[in-house]
Amino acid sequence: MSKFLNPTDLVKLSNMKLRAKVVVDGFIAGLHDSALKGLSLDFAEHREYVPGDELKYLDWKILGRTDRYYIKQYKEESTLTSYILLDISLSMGYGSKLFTKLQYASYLTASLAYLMLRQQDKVGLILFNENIAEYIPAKSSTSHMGFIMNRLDNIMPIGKTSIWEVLENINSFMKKRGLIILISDLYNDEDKVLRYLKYLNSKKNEIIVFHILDKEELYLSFKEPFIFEGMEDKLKVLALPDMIRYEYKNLIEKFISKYKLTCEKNNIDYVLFNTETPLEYGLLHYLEKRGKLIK
Amino acid sequence: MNLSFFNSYFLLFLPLLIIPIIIHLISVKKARILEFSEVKFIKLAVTRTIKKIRLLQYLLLLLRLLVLTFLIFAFARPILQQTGMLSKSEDEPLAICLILDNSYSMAPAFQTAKEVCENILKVLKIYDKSCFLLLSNKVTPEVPTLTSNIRLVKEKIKSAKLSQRTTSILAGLNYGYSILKESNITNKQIIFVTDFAKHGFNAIDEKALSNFDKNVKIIFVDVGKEISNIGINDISLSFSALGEQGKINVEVENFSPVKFYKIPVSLYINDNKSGYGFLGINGYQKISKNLFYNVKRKGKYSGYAKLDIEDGLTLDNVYYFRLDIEDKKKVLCVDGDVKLSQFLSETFYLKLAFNPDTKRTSEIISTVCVPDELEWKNLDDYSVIFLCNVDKFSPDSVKRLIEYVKRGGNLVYFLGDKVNIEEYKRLSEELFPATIVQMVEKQEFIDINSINSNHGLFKLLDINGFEKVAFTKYYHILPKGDSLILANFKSNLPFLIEKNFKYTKYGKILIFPFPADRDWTNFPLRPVYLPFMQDIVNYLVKETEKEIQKSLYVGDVYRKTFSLSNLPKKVEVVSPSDKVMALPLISNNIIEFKNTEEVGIYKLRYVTYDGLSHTEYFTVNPDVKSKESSLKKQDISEVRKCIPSAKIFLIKDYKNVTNELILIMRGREISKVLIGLVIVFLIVEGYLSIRRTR
Repeated sequence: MSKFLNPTDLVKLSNMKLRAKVVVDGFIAGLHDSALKGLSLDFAEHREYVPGDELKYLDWKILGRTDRYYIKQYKEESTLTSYILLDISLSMGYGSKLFTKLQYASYLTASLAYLMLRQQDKVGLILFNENIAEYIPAKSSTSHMGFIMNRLDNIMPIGKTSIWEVLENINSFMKKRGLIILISDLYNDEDKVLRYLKYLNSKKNEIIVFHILDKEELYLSFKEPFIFEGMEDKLKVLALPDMIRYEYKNLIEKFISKYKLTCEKNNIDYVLFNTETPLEYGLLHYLEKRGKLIK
Repeated sequence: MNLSFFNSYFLLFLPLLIIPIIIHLISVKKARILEFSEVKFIKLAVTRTIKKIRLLQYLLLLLRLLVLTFLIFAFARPILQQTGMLSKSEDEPLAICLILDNSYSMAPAFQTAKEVCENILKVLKIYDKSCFLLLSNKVTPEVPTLTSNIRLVKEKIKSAKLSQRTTSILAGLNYGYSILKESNITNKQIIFVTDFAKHGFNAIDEKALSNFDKNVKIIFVDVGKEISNIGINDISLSFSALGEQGKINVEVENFSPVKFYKIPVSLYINDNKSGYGFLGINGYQKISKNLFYNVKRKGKYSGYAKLDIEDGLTLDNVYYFRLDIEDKKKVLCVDGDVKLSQFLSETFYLKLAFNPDTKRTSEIISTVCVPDELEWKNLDDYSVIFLCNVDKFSPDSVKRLIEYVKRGGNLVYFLGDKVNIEEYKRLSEELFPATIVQMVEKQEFIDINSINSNHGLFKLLDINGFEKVAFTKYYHILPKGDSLILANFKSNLPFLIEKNFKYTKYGKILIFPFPADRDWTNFPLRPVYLPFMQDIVNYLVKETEKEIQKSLYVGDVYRKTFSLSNLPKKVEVVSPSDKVMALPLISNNIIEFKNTEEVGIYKLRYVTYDGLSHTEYFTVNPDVKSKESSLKKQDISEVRKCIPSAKIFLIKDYKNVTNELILIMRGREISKVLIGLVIVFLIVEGYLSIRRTR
């Protein structure tokens, strides 16, 4: 764990691009196998050797001339289009620590996007609550990254959640099959959400679900009694956390396991994140999934 | 069931019970609003657990209320009265037999005991009944029947006086049971206010208790303190071998573990200090201290030995005694066969028998004279006259001897070869109550079977010693008139004749039909000779002295028998506090004095019909030998063992006697039970709290 960045440290950084760069570069440096290998045979450019690069791509001529290590890069034919669906509803605005679930989710989104664009993959971003609030089409250009990062920098929670309706409509935005990454707290009708996930999966899309929950949502470790007010529906419930904790944890575990089991059953990646989980885990899941798709 | 409280003011704290309720309510109301992402799971959890939560909440509230309530109750010392046979409700009347120990061991605590008795009365209600007894080894019923008149009982308590008797708790119990038996009230108590000393509990067991009722509670209120104490147990008097000096053995006992050093002991005779000394005594030790006195004149004296010490009890530091100083027993031996050699003298063996150690003064002083001296010698100086082988008596001698016998003098004849039988035959029965028949010359022995060993002359003697006494000659004599043969030879002829006159004032006459020397017998050489001759003197002298010098204990009856020939016209007793009490004669010649409640020297004064006034003494002492002087406490468990089916209580904290009595008589304190419950509730509360937050 210690080799990864603590998400709380990222808050201190000034902008989203920087955060993404720090996360991704650090993550890549830690990998043994290069994740940047291309598949095309058209030469594109040289770049400096980094540990983990396969030696077969080393340009021996340059080495002989300049005594420096360069890797030959080839123009890669991008085969993967990814859409990141980020939940920006009010419930994502909850956070018991320094940052909210939405902040955490945006760091994860930025890191993923940065990594994808470095891979020359096409990345699209859909911000949603009960509807699709913003759609950024999938592109792989360098300028696209800045656009995404700027948008993520200024993100605010708003509106109620309706994941299933968004999933229902997303098909019209996706021109060909690709990778769908859903980042949300999944507080919605579980059956409907799962039904549409299965539907998207059946359309030959690969899906990763990053389930983002705060630690308090998992454990309800408050000591004093509170009147809990729902952030979206404004419903108020008086509760003594000590008294209901056992039952609450049962319910939340049931809720999580329903997503987890159904996703596993349908070949959908499901990853539970609490806001203290290092973001690198998310990147790792993406790379694994990408690897599967490219093969 | 009924509940009352010792410290009811603690109940003022009961409103504090509102605190847990307020805390309970506040803890719910003070909840703040917290924005939370999704409350549907919380709502669902609350819905599912609400019943359990509420139950747990109320249970915890109840437990906390109970903890606080029981804690307040415990401090208020609740007393539980149960309806039933033994424990009564507060309104049910009580019957109390209040017994105040006034034995002499209570001296240091008697005033306190009276105050405690008065405090006990404060417990009683208007419908309760009580009686009041004073207890030593005798019960004095001051208020003999159960009464509601508390004022009367209080007056009797105030006027109660300390006795000088010992304690008998058994006597008090029996008296108490007999009074309470008559009452219809079912809640009965016998309350002893006592020093709870061990000595008072002798001979107690259920069988010894008449009218025993197991429902009667026995309550001891211990007002005594275990103070160190020594006392004089007894005194014995003895003559010293050194001239006229007498010796008194003072037996002192230490009843405590403390060692005493150099305690002055003084001896007073007729209020004059006659001797003194010092003694040291270890804890629980008993020692004898010898004190010497020097009284020259014969007579009846009184005195006391005193320990000069400030200890637990003063009464037992003095022991009173009566002292009869008599002249030494003087006997006259009339030698009828005087020889030049003392050894051959007729009275040689007699004198030796009376004083075997010639270097010291014996108890019997013998004087030898010839028969002619009987005519002018003052015979009254002698208790006994031995007439040894006297041939004949002059008319003056006869006359003087008869008068001597009439005045109480005693004669002992030894008949030898000088005896003129014819002259003896002419003597009157008052002087020689036998007839000499003839001299018998043959080997003879004493028939020991003919000796009555219960006779005063023989009762201290081993009569088997006579078996080897042999005679070669003796006189055949026969008793005259009412004379008696006390022993025979084996030939059935008299060995010894005794004359007892019908007038008790008269002396006695003994006749032996053989001489006092070795002429006809080996008797003087036999071991039995010496004690027998001394016993003859003691027998003849002591028969006139019948007084017993033993001291009485407080409460004993003094009894004196007068001789019929010397009956008193008027008898009176003067107590140590100079109270004069006249006494009537009972059974013609006996007086009895029962009021021996005071320790000290009593004077018995009486005037006989011949107009003479007489004064005698008798002494009364505390019965220290009964261990009354030991202030060691009894073990309550021992008492309970003795009366296993009785309900027995001991109140040691007599200052708090009223509260303790209420507790015993009217209910049971349940503070400890409540404290126990508080602990249990706290454990359960802790468990539930942990369970709630799990």
